[in-house]
Amino acid sequence: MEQMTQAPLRRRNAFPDQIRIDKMETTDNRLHRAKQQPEQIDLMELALVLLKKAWLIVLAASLGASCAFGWSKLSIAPTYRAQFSAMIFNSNEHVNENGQLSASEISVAKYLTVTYTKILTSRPVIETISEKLNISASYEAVAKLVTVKAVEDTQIIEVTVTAHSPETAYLIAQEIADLGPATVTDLIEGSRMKIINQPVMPTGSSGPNYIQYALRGLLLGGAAASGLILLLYFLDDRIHSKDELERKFGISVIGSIHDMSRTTGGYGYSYASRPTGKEGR
Amino acid sequence: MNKRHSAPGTHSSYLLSAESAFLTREDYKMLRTNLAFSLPGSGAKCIGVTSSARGEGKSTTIINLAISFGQIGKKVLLVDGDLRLPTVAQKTELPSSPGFTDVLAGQCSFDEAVQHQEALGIDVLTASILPPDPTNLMESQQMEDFINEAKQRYDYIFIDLPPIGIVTDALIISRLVDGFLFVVRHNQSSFRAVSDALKQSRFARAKILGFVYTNDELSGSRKYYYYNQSGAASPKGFFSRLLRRK
Repeated sequence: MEQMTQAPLRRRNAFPDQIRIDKMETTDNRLHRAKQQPEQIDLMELALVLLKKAWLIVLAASLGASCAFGWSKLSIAPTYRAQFSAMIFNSNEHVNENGQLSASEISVAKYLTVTYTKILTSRPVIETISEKLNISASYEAVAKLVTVKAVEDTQIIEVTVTAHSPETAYLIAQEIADLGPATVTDLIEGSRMKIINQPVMPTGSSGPNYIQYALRGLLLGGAAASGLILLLYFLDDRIHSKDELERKFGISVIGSIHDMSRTTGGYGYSYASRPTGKEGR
Repeated sequence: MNKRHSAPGTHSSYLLSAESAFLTREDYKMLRTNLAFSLPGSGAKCIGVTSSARGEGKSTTIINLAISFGQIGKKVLLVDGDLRLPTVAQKTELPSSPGFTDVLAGQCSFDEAVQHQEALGIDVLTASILPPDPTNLMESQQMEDFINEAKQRYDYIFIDLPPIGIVTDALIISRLVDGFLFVVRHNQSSFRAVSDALKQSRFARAKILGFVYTNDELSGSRKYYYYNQSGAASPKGFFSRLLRRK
């Protein structure tokens, strides 16, 4: 029995010198071990870095929002939008017993909307309108003001004219609404275009969206400040914490001495200066 | 041995004393305990203190650590081994000579050079006259003899050494010391400098016992605990301090 209990002890002390050497971890070993550990970016640490400089991010974001709002207000002229919608018909459409168009007819009509879009912004149409309204701008400049969009799953198209003056937007839209049906019928035999809503004079500006510009400025300012803070953090080679030091080099911090300028003065906690009434507790 | 006795209170506020803040005293107690556990076994211990660059609190740390060991009744010798920019004499308010270089050069005996600083409770060997080439002195047989003699007389020998990142003096005596304490200053020491210094110490097969992190910030619960107890955070504490100052 005695032999059995002593056997493991003997094995443990078989090579005492070797064990001691293994336990004596040299600087070389520790550095090597620290190097083998992959560099990790602590997201919590990054969040704390940003949190510490939150005031700067808020300031930059506010500045960005103010600048973007001011710039859009001063340099971007307001725009006005006049709109009308129209229905397009194909002459070969066949109505079923229930008085409805078949699916294939709708798909053909949808395909034709692209064609109508091109027709309504074609050079003859735009140049006729420019001539009629005495607009000196080029064809490209006027055509740019007009956007034609097909309403999904319908035969309806929406024509929008955006201009810096409400009158111009309204007059161009009105002219297209007047010229459009006849031009379409002339070019595509048997097709028809029927105006659903006539354009109306815009009462308020449609753009620019100042709030959107301010929000973009807000995000841009905040992102720029955050980016700068993180860049400076990554470029900063100074040691900021004991944990960082231990993690990087794999050597323990055996002592930490606090800033003595803050701890000197003799007002620190000590057993000799217990608050009155606490004695003996 | 020369006995010096400075009047209490003449020492700088950064030196450890009974008047030092509770937290400072605790910091050094902690360092003392951890260091004692890092060097197990009986016999005298010779510890070098170095850093990667100047101005990281190396000399202040080693002086206070020596004082801390002296406070528990250990026989401590503090040696100013920074033969490029010695500061121990100035900080401990002792004459700079006779000192370390005089002993190594054979100008005076060990006993004649060591000064006892009564107020701090430790023996100090200041740097004395700076040699043109300190490396030669560090490498000499006299240096080895000096360490062996000091080990016979003291429990702890602390040697303030120049930064590893600047000169190699510290690494030259790596075989003579039991280990090094590597001082790193919060928000000042750079990773690159520390890394380079540790690489050099690796080539010299120097044993780094651990880092000493100086100028650390009070944080978390410790900050609350310290300030709460000291009353610095409360208006009452602030006013009572004002009254006490008057």
